[in-house]
Amino acid sequence: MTDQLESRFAEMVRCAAPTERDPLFRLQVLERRETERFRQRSSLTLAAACLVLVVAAAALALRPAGFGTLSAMILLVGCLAGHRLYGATLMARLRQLRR
Amino acid sequence: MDEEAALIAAICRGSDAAFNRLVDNHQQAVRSFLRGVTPGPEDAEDYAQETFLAVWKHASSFRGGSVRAWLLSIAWRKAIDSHRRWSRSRRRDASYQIDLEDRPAEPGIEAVLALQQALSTLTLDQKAAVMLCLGCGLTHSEAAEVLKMPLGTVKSHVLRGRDRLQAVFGDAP
Repeated sequence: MTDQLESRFAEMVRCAAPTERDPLFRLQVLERRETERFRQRSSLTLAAACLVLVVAAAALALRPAGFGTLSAMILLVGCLAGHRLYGATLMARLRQLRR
Repeated sequence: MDEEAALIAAICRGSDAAFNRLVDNHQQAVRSFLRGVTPGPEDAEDYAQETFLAVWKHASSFRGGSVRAWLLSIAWRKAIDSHRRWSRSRRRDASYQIDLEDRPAEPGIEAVLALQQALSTLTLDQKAAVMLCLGCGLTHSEAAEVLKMPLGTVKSHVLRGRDRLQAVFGDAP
């Protein structure tokens, strides 16, 4: 009786189980992983950019004549942040276009 | 080092191929287990994905032993969280009811619902113990390791769960 119950339950679990190979599930996991990575990278970059700007603003407050330097620094930080976030995607697109 | 431990080591080094292989090798067991212990099939999918994400982030925390048992223990922790959240949201909105006909027409959804129906009279711990021992083929000791419970408790959960299943199946036509 117990064996019958166990085999009936095992059969039920087997019917409800997903397929042994499920590439769609793997893609969903990878998609979530990439989203997570992007979020982490964005937060880190934003934090770094804020830090640089705070330092630059402090420097400007000490030496008001350095406005040009501050503008250049903001531009540089923007370029670096953009490269860090979108550099890989941009290069991949360029490679695709070259083919 | 066995093949599975080598996969985890490769994941620690950032290998995408190893991660894909681990997902392919264990997704069925993790998803089956979660389908039995979470309130809905969508939750099971969500927490299965989160389980593998946790592996990607914390692969270095693997301390040897069975990789499957380790994965199932992560999935179990996710299921407990899910159960707590589900209980809270149910209390918040007592009128909320899931209409079975509103669920998406996923292949095999009837089988998942039948399984959840059969397990509905069991407590969460009993569901987990029954799913691991009777559904996934783990030994009582392995289930105790996954659920972080004493062996005797797991045995007792399986026994009581089996009795309740017997009652459910006995009532079924």
